[in-house]
Amino acid sequence: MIGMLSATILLPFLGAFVLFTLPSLSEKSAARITLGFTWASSAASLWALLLWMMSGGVRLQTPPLDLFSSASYHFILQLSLDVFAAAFLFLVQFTSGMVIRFSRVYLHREPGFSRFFAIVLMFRGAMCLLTLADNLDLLFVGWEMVGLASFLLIAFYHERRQSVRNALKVFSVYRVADVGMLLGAYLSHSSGHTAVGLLLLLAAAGKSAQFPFSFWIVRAMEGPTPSSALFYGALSVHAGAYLLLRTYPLWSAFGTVHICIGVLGLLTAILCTVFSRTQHTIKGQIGYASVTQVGLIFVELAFGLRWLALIHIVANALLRCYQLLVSPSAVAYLLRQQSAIDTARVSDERSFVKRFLPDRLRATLYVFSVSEGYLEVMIRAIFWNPIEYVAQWLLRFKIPIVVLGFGLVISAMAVTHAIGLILAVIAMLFSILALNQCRDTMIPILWVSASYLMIAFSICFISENRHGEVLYMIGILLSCAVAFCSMLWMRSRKAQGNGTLFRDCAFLGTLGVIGFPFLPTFFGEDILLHEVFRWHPVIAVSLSSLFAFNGYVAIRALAFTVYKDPKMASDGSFNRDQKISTLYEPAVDSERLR
Amino acid sequence: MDSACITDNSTKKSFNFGNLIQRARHWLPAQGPIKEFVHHNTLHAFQHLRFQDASRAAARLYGTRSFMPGEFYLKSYRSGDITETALCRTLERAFPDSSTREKARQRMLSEPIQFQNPRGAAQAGLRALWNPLLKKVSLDRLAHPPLFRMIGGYLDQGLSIWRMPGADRLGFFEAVANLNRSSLLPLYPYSSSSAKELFELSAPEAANRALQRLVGDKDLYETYLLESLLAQPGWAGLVSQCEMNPASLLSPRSITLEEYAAVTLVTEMACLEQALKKDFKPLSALDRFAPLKPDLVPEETEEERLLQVWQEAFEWSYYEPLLGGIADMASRTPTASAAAPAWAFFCIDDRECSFRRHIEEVDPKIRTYATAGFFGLDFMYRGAKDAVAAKHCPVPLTPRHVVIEELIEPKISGVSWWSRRQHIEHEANTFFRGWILSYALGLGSMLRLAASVFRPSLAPVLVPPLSTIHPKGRMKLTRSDEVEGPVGSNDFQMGYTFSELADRVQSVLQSVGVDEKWPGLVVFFGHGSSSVNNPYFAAYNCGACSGRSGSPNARAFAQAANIPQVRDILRSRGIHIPDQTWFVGGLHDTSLDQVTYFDVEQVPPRLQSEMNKLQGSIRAALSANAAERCRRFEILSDKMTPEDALRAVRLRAVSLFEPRPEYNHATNATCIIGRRSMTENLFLDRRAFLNSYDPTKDPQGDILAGILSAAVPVCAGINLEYYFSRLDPNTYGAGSKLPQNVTGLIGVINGVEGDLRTGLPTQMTEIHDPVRLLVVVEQSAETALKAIRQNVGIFEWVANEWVFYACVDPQSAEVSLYQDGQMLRVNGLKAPLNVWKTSHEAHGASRGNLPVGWIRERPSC
Repeated sequence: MIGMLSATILLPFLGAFVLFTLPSLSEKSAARITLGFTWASSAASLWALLLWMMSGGVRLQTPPLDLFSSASYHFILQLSLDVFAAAFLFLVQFTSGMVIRFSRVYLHREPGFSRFFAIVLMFRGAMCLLTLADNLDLLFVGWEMVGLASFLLIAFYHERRQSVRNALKVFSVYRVADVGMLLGAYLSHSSGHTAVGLLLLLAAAGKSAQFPFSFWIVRAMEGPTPSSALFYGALSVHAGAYLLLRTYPLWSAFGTVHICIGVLGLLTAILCTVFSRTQHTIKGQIGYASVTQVGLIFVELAFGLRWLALIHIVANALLRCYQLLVSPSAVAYLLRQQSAIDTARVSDERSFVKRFLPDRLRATLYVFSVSEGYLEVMIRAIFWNPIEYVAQWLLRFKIPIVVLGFGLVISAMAVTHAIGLILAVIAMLFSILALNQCRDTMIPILWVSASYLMIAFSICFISENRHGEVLYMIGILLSCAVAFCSMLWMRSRKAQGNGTLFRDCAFLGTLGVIGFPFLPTFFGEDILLHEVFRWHPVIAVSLSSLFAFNGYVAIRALAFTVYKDPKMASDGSFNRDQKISTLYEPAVDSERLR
Repeated sequence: MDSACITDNSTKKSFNFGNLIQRARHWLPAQGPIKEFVHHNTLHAFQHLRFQDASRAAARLYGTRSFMPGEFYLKSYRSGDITETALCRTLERAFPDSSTREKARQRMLSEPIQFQNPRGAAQAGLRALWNPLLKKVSLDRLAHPPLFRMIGGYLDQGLSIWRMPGADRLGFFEAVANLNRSSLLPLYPYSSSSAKELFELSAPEAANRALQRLVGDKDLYETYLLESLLAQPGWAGLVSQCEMNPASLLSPRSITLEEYAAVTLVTEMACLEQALKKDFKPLSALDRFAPLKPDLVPEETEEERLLQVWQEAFEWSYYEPLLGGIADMASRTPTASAAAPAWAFFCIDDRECSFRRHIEEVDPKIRTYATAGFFGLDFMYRGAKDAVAAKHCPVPLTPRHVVIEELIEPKISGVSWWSRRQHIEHEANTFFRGWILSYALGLGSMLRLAASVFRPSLAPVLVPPLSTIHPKGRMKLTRSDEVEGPVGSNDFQMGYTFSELADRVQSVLQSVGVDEKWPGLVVFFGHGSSSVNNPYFAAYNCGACSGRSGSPNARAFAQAANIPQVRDILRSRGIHIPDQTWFVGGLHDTSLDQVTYFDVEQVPPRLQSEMNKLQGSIRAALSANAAERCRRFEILSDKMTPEDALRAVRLRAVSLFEPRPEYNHATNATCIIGRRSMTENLFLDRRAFLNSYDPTKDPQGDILAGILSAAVPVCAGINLEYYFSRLDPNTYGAGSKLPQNVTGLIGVINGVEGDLRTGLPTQMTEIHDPVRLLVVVEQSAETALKAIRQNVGIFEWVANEWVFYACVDPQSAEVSLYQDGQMLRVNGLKAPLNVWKTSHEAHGASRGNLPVGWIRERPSC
């Protein structure tokens, strides 16, 4: 049983690993490897499910395996299977299996064929892990990988700026969700708490595109259609709902959490159904329609209707997955419907809005829907604008700040307790500076390194037990250095475009910076957080946000370095001489007299 | 007039925005709504220039590639795809001086020619000057999403659930203004006070004011406007097309490019004001610029010249053996033809090229002909289940007749609630219905998903295509009264009179130059293509039927030619169709490789056995044809029997996961107008448009001129669209099909906020070799020249080398090529070397393009 469950999880990862390490495989062998690992893990999971059902279908837990432990922190590998996990596991296996089989032909001859399957296999493994994990720490591992896989597939066509930009947008929301997840996971160790529920709700809302993050769902539809169907139709978008379902015992005792989940879900459902009505693209419409249903699933969960929610999750995932896969048929189908005598459309005339609302309100509703409820503007105003102001303010008073900073550091030397706090604040400021520099790719990495350095200093002052932390800091600074150097190298030689080694190094370095699961920095992050929590929760919150921000900055730098297309370079920099010489003849006065 | 309006700086009112729009319109892509995909020359705007000049000028305007990369040519040379003789021939033509020629040759062969493509007007022009000022974003990124949201919502043909208020009665500018005015919530970016002010004016006035704010200098207005439109060629081009052809929209919209451009400019102004906090200066304050001249031809650089030589050498490597082979065929002493048991007529489409060859291989006695697939019948057709009539003739023609299909049992059996909801999942996108349906349909979707992956079949996603033949339908082709309709009115006439039908039958039979010995059976095959999950479905159908299936035309032609009265009229005009001859209409589905016959029950009993025999031959030919097609699909095994191949092509056409149901016109390279005897022993590998024509019956070349004026625009349009989409798949072409998203039922975009994609997706063009069309006619040089000069529009294609034009003299078998105003004799042509016994031996299991070769036997001269 344990063997089967772990095979379910590990086989896809193994497949992904093989594909990642052998990028020059022919299409046929890549497909063979993919399908082999897919069917093998499906067989393992079916076997496990069968065994579980024969043993009566009661909740089953594997024996815990302590993977990593320090004084205050244990990372325990433990899986469990209950009826919810079993149903979701089946959903994961079924949809991802179907989509992989579907894509085998769909992706034929596409550049990046094996990259696609490597990412999808990683996603499949991560979803299985997320489904079966018994504790939140382990669940977080799957959670992170799902986020990274999303990012990589949205940016699959990285020669287009738009898809890279949208991938980053989605990733930034995922990072915010990760903050909730990190803190929630920590708090869940100590005690059940309303805060745990709310933090998990934050995580779930980000991942499942609930209010106020709903806007990302339609912008994620940039990858090949099957990947959109798998991620944003079927699995990824329901991961948040599944998280709440799975952690129900953790938060069910707190009324506030129920109310928050219900209100958030209902709000999302109402807003997204309005948004979906003016989407004039088929994938956009399905995306919002799907999130509407996820909102309703949240409402069902708030009422404690777990079974109903489970059925709703499975049904909605399957429906949306199928809908997205057949979305290219929409032209043929809907046009036919309109122009055939027996099925001419009548829905518009019947609609409630048209019959009962006065024109002015109709226009207002339309504008509200087209503007997607100003959610993106709102997020920008709440989150990005303050960062911009702070960063601009910092940059304007550069020198005084540095002087002031050092003054503070020195003066705080006396009061050793405050220095940690001050250094943490400085680290945060550096992180903000890094976030603000979105045009440049290299400088932000330097800011990120600086902010980690500050954290390292700060830890030295706060913590008594320093070995783990110092190791972590060395690891993360090393990651930063590797990422920085290889990106620098790639930038200087981007004309040649012949640096796969450096690209891989940059990728690995970035993974280190974002704390990718099972890299040393991943554990380091957790240890650090545990350490800091004891000291002060506010620092813990800011530290975990700092991790999220810095990880985002690293991914952004990677995206703009690796994915940089020389043709698109005109976006920011512009060479005026070149324009005059190549495009226009020199300005002649006679031209004007004509 | 125009220039006077523009340079008149003193009076603001006389500024003529309409003229600017008319001039800008010329440079936009000419692709209409995707439901009727009509192939056209991607660079139609530059057609008045010579091809080389045009592609250079276009590269500068659009920022595109004008050649394949240098590596491509060098690799082709090394692999033998570019032949030595072709390279020599091209070099001689380009460099008459032998020393420079040798130098050029050395440079070409030593390393790939590197050439930096220019950046287009939209990327590197005047308007790009905003980007450094905006620092973090580009103007396109600010202005396009809200603009596309508006135009997408406005033009939506029924995809979105709510229609934009006023879209059906107001113009675009007025609709946005109305929305902006009446909404209680702000509509970014139009809610700013300055934008609101502009929306109170008329569209041209608003545009003028916006341009004033943005540009300042009136001389640059046109430049700026053009750049703004070229930055979003998809939507701007579509708007322009919809304005010129309003009937292409099922839900009518009174859209004009003028209004769209006005909204574009207001959007840009409003976005800039918000981003730059109102303190921005017009562009003309930054520096002095000269206006953009879109059709200015840049100097040819050395690299471009060499690449041009490479490109022509690549083309001639195909042309040479082809012309050599045709010359050999023409010089052969013709054998007396035996009486055929049946004739089969096809469209000139290159996909029928191999099918004809296979039919002849299965039964050498069957004679095949080809002519434009609308078979001379220019009508609007309404199928029994259609609510509207659709055009079934080439795009330039304007039909005056409507043909409708009626059900034999006119009482429509009640359409059940369920059958109307075959695609019920499309209704699951609203709140309550979605709630219920997502529970209800979830499990069903699971089964459908599994079925679509493991057992693809047409049933679950079947969309009965528009304007096809209903199994129980009867066509109303004739009209009893012999009166002509009122001349000059737009009214359509229901059906044709007998004499009108006789005219059309006569013209088709004369243009192909049919034999005197009529067979018992004459079958006319239209062609169409079934595919699923494919927004480009219209591009797969018959180009001569405006991107629709040719089945109604084939059926109508057969019916017309069977009517005794029509035959009487024809007889009086000298065309004697014997009474025992019977015409049958049919459809060849090119993706399924399947053939349907219409009205077979009316075939006289005496012909029944011949009909059965013909059907048997055609069935065998279909399998062989499928096998030949399958070699191009890399994903399929290369060891398949014809039966396997047939199963494989039928499966792929109905598979949801198959983005390439067929390869359409890919690899097309030539159009051969002449008797079948000129090509019957040539293996042309599905690369030729074949048009039947008998030069001996057309000494004056009038029939040839007629054929050219129909065939050249269609074939060259297809050829050049493939050419350019292959050349620059991301700018001229539509990129990969896989991430595309259907928008408003009028086009596809990337993501939810991108521009409409124009051109062909890579999945259609990836195996295409960019080669210009070579039109070969079987006719003497003088007559051929006279025929091509008859139609000025057609002559332009040839004179500017968008297509090459060659003729083979039926008597002397001399080959001449049009060059600089005359037909010049081409010497030293080498005939192809390969001789294969059968088509199957010829294509074998190889994957790539095959050289022209002999099939069955090499003609002895």
